[in-house]
Amino acid sequence: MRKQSCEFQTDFLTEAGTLNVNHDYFAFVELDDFACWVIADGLDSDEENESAEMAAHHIFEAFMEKPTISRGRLKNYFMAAHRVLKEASRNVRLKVSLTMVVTDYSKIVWLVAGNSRLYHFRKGIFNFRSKDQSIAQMLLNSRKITEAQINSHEERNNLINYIGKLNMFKPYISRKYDLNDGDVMLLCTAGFWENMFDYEINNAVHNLNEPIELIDNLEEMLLERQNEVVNNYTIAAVFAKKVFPENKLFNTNFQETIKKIAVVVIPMLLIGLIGMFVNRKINEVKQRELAKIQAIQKKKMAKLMAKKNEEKSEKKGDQLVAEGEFPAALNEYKVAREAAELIKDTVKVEANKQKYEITKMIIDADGYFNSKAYERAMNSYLDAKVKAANFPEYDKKELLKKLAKSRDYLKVIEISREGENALNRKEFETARACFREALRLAKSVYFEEMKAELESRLSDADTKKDEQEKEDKLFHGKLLESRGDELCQQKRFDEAISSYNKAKRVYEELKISDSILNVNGKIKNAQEEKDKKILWIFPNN
Amino acid sequence: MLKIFVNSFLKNIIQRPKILIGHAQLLGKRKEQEDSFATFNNEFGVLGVLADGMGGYSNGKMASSTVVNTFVSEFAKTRNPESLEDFFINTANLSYSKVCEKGKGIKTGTTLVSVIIFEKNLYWTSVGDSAILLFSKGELINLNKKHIFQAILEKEYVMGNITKEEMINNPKKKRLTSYLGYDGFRDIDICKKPIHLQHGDKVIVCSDGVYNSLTEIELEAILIKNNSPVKTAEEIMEMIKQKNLSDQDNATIIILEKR
Repeated sequence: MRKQSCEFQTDFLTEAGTLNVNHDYFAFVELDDFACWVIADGLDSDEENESAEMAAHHIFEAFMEKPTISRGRLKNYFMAAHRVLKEASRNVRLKVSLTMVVTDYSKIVWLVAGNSRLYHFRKGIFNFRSKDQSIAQMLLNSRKITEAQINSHEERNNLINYIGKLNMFKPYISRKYDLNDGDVMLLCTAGFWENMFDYEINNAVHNLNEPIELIDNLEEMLLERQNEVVNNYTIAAVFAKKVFPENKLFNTNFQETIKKIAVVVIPMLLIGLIGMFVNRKINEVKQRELAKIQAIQKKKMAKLMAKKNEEKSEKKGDQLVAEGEFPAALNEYKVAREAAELIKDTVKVEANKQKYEITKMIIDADGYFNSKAYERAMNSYLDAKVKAANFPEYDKKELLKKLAKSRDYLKVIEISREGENALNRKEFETARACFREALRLAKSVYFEEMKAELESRLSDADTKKDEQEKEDKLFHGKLLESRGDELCQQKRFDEAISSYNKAKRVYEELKISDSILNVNGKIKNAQEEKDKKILWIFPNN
Repeated sequence: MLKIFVNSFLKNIIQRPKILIGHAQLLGKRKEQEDSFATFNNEFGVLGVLADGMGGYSNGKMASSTVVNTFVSEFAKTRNPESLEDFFINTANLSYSKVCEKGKGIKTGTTLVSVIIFEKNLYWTSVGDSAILLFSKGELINLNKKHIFQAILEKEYVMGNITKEEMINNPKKKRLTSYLGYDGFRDIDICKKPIHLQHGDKVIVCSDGVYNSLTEIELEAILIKNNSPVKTAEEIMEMIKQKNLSDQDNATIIILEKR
């Protein structure tokens, strides 16, 4: 209930002038905590709508619903009225110049769209006036005309802003301004001020106590001019005889001191904080830049190192290959390839890859050779030789030697295998020939391991051959012996004795004493039988 | 000599703005087209002239075309662009006498609106109730006042000689109080100061058949599209056609756009 503690008086006058219709509008309201004055000047020629009244009503409705002195909200009320006017433009564009003053009985805020004005007087003396949104005001701002010229300047009604403007509507909103006891506010439309000089208005305010007196004086001054054409004019005077006393504590010297200190300290703190913030940001940016540069340098170094490593590893690999240290070379080529990949040197990548593969083939081939897989070893050496044709690092003669050795060893094994097969078929001569040939070849290629084995196999073949011959002879002896037996039975003792003797010679050759004794017995028996036969034929003998 | 020639050539190039022109016309529900118009371009600038004839049958057309032809031929002859006010007054008077002469005592006449764009400035004159409008930065501004009886009635009302109802309900309030024709040339409106045109500004010259049929908002909506003057003029006529008003008057429009 601030209103009860203060005294505000308002009076106004609105007239059509020499025109037949008055398009001006004035309204005000004094609520418990806030008051509002609106002065509007309809600029269009619409016969259906009173645009000034329409705009003022919308602002008033919004204000009555939510009274405020907040600049943001008041702007919203203005913008809402502007939208309403735009939408209501049917035949002609509705245009309104409007000024609004709002107070909480201790401070005021004023909003201006167009060239309706607020004059403020303190202690009976002119204090300020609201600035128009017109070309004339722009000329005044740029000092092309003087303050005294603006009221009658031909561009005074050429507005750059008004409620209902099609595009880019931007009203002026003042800061909050403290009222003092005895302040006078005068609101007026262009129809009034365009016929007056500001000094005349200022003089009229001096030493007046009631708003009605001011209104009457001003109208009298206007009409005294007896202009042929007088536009619609509206004048409203507000006398703030006593404003609301804000909390006195805030007005003590202590509070003033605090305020002064705050005014000094807060900006300093803010500057300090902003400085710190800016400094931090600058440092962050610097560090980021530094990190970027370092990263780039690191990358460059890494590339350089990688290149060096690649060269070093490849060279070492080549050297190791020349020395025949293939497993070590393999590792070097792998490192060289990885380094080449890092520096994206595709030629080097490919070269190292090839060398790696060749070295791997040689190592594999050596492995196969050592594990006696001579055929696989031979194939691997062959592949390695073909691949290594373009790489001088590899000793082709050495590779050829290895290849030939593998081939020879393989041949030894193959011939030996043939001998083995012949032996199994009891073709002792063939087997011996194979083993001898394999042995000769093994000796010529220094296949020591195979040499001993082949010698042993050859001896085995001889033994087996002798055994076979003995068996054959024994069989022959037995055959002769059994033939002798058959002849004995046929009483052909001479022939039988002859056959027994032959058998006896075979057994003697084979040194089988039992069989010799047995045959001797048979020979004796046959002889006796033969003798008996002769006696029988020749009994006298 | 060469220097003078080059200077004059350069002056022409630098000072003469590019003006795009568009126009359109509609017969409406009338039997005859009584509106006449012309645009003319010479070394001094661009002339646009429009006349809305009256008097029935061929008399209206005769009056309007006489005025338009006179303006074009006089503008073609003029060699002194500095005194365009004199040009407007003299040519209007000459047109008036020609119309009276050709009319041979018959009650005929025509309105006149004429604009000249010279060195980025717009000059205009008007007699009667045809309109000159300026569309600048999205805003439509009426440049000329109409010479109709309503203006006199308003004055009478302010003087207290008649009541508001008498002013509003007067059936003759739209009657012309000044026109070029038999006993009618009483007043001519001429621009007090030339208007400096900005890039994209459009000058619209039209007869009452246009502004009585379309509202300011409808005109604005078409003009703000920023189409070429030719397309804009056609669009305006198309909109009038679509409205199909029962008493549609002859409608003519000229649009001049400064580029």
